[in-house]
Amino acid sequence: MLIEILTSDVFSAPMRCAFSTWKTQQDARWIALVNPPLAPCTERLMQEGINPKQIDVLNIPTNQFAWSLEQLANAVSTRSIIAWESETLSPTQLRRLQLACQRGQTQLFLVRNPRNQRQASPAPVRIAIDSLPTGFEIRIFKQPGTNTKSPVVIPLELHWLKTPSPVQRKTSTLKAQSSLH
Amino acid sequence: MIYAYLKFPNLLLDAQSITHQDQSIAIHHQGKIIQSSELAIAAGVVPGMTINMALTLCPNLLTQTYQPDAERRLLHRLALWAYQYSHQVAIWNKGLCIEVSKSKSLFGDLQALTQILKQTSASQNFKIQLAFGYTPEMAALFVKAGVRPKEQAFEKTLYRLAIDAAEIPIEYVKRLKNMGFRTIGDYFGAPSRARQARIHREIYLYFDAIAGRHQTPLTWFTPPPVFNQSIEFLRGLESIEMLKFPINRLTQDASLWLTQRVCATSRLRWEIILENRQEASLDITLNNPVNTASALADPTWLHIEKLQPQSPMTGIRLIIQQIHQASPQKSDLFIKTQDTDRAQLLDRLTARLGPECLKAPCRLQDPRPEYANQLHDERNVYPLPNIPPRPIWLLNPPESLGQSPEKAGHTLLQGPERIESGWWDFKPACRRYWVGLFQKKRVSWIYQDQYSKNWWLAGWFT
Repeated sequence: MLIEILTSDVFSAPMRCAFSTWKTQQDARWIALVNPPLAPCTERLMQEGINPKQIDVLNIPTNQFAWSLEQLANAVSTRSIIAWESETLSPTQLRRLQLACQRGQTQLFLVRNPRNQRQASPAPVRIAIDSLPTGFEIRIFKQPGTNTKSPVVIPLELHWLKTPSPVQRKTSTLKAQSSLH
Repeated sequence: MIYAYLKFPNLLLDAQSITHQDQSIAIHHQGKIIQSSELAIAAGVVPGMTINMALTLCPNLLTQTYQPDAERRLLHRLALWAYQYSHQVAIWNKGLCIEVSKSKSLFGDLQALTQILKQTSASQNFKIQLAFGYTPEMAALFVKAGVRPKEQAFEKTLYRLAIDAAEIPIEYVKRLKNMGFRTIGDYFGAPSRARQARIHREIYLYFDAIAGRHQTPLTWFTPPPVFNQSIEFLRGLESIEMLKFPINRLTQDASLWLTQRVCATSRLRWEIILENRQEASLDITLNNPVNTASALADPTWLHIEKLQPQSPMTGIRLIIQQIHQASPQKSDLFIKTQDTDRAQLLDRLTARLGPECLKAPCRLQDPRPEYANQLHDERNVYPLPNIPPRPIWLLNPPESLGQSPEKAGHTLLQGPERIESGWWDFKPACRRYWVGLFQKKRVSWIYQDQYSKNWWLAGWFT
């Protein structure tokens, strides 16, 4: 299924959405990151419980973007794709991608500029993500079989910031041990 | 023993790689027409006619000289195709002779085998005439006479054929007729000793062969150890698009050759012959060994369409030298997800975009984050030790923040995580990593270099 993510925050929000589905729906198929804005951190992927051995990172020239996405979406061996739009895709190209996703039973997150929100799209699911200081707000403004729902606020998962890091934990333990003597 | 004899009525035309269905073409040898296309026949151009006479009858006739090498190559290609139906295939009498007594049991009966041979030959775009017999000569005689009797009626049908049908010189036919033999049955009705005394030995043996009483030794075809097949074009092709059909035909033949040998290949060599006698060669390496036509053709086409030949193309050749034993596909009754098209997908992507477009995230055994997290061609993922949370994105190279993170907009939230490593490769790193908040919006990963005391932005959490 083609899922359009319209956001100006190309770094965090789309990956958080993708992480949540990749963690819950794991199988033997592959994941592809197409034209990511920066290099993904392998250690973070492992910390999220995602096997990096089943991830491809593709940097595709602009004029080959649509063709490559269609090939990936068409492949049965591909489970999920997250792609950062490098050229504005036409409705016909989006329709082809949606059909390719149906054929290959592939999930395609297409990260696009928010200005595309006003334009009609054949994508069955379209969401807009706005960054907030405490997290981000997701507005699903197109989805099959139901009306528009109220926005959902996803808080930043930074609970680990409150706990001391292992280095600090080790230092504090050593300090505690030394104070006993 | 039952033999099938396959005759190819358009063998010489097909050998020239010409689309002869919609134009008047004739093949000539020593000044005489030896084969002509259907349109040429309709215009009155028949084998045996002189070229001058043919051109008078059909002024727009396209004539080509007979090429024995091209005919031999095509017969080898056809033998390779026939090899899938029997392991005993021989190139004989400008046609193919196939021993089918075992194949008959495999495919049902001779009728079913005939249907299969006709269907597959039609899909390969060549016309065949075939018949069965106890010997290759008997089958060839039935093909010439245009009959295809059932196995039980071989002898009866043979005896009914006129003596003119026999493939012997015309003077011997006349002589046999003068002896009173009108049919082949009449011939075999005469006493053997009397026939042997009056008829030339070769003719006597030929008649014994068509009756199944004498066996002609055949040289059986064996598939070549290296696939090397080419297609020549009558006129130079100027557009790469026009190579699509020849590529498909060659990959189909290569797939058949690989399948027959239970092999697969990951290396293809294409040679495009240009009109200026130069050759453009293209070596293609696939991610996995494959043996299907589509898996060979798709990456080939993606590579070839990038070519810009300097002059028209007059031929294309496919060479496969390196083959691997093909292992049967593993299948599981309970796993529905398939990984079958993964190799083909990678081949297509790398063929069109180049191998450098595709990378795999790796984790190497190095404490320095920029060395531990890399995008590589090979998938090396070492186990993850117990380390603090890492950011989603890494900046490579890191971005300088100067002497103070606060001045660059980063407020320190948590840390430090001390990493001191790299003494062995003379790129020592002594750093203190912190989680920071950038402009009260984004969570960053920054570090201070303990040697220079400068701050660097290493990645982003959000």
